[in-house]
Amino acid sequence: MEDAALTPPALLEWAVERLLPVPARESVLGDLSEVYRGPWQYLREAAATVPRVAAGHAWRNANFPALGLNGALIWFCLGGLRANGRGLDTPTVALAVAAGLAALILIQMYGDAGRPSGARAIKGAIWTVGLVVLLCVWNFGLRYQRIGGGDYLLEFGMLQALPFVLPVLGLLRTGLLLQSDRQAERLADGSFALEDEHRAFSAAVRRGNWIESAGLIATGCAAPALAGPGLWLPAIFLVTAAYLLAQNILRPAGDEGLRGCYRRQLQARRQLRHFLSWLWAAPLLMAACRLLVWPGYESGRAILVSLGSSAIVSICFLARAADSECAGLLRERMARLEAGPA
Amino acid sequence: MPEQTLLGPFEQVVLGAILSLGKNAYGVTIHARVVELSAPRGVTRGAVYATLDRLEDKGLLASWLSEPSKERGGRARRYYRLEKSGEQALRESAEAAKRLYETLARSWKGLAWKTQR
Repeated sequence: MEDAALTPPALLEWAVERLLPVPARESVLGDLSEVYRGPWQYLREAAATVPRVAAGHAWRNANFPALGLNGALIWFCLGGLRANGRGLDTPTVALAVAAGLAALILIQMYGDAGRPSGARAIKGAIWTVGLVVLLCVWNFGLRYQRIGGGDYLLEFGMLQALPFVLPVLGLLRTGLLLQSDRQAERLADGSFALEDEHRAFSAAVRRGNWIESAGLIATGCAAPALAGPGLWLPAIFLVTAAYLLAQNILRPAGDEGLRGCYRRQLQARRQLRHFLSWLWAAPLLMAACRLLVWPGYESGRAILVSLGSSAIVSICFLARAADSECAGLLRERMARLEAGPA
Repeated sequence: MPEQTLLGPFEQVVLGAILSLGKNAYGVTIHARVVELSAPRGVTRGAVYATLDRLEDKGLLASWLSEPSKERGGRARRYYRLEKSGEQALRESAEAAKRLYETLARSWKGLAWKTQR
């Protein structure tokens, strides 16, 4: 009875737990529980603790260059400054960029960054295809209202083939799963040795940076062919390539210990990989809009709109899948670091 | 000459608290000791956690999770201890404080400590 009286109410504790960043939940909740004297006292303590812990976590783990590049990408995709001739007005885009960046920071703080299970991954593919079919039916439904053009029935027939994108998505998703399973197995082999693990991680990151920066430069030069005229997207690609090269060349200054340095590198890498997943997808998304969706609407051909929107949904699914696998592997490294000997 | 790690006043208090607590340095006890050392100024728990994280990033502290504890709702404690670099930084801060005290005492012809209660 006395123990129950000195335990925070479950609902209150659940609410505080949701507000705390994931890495801090165990210890901070336990501390608050240990000093619990009553619900109002608990609320006062939580109010004095949670904002500082959350703000400190966000600040420590923010990769500002990656966030800046992310903001630039969102700005471009929404047509900021009307660079590509279509898009929202500038204040709306600015608001969307700010909201997008805030969402990214919050997702990293509070999101479940573990690797998705195989079942969840395949369910995601099924949901994606369901969305594709809905979009196509919607497009054709609207088109049906103002039927015109001799090839309407042919186009409607072609629509029936779209659900076959499911096996393709399923195969690609499975491939990503298997690849990250192999990496996770390599990671789990052997005991944790901080210096060795940090060295191996840094070497892998440097190798990846060289290869990826070369790819980014090539894609940046080819981006106008896919995404249309305009310098924003190529500029983002080239600046990102320069950032990756700078990471390899410059040594970080600061007074961090090895554990702090490794932890910060993992968090920064997670944010950067999130941005890169969507950066690689951006030219393909713009190409789908430019070559299929917009011409489809302009010429009244629903099949083009359907193909374009199906491509967009599928590309987003794959970009999200690649991002979640990478984030999950980095999270596993973080968990090994936290659980490793002090 | 080895590079010195500069500690802020509050960081010195937190490190001093951890040093004085020995093996019993975790969130609750560290906060209580910091409140004692900073009296009469109040110190929030959040400020202590933020400073602990910062010091750990600098490599001055190490932390680890204990076994789950029944009185904490089955949750583990995060214990902290000073690393060698943390001890060195604290020693340097103490020596700097001592030099400052001696300088002020000479300039003001003595310096009486006023006990805060």
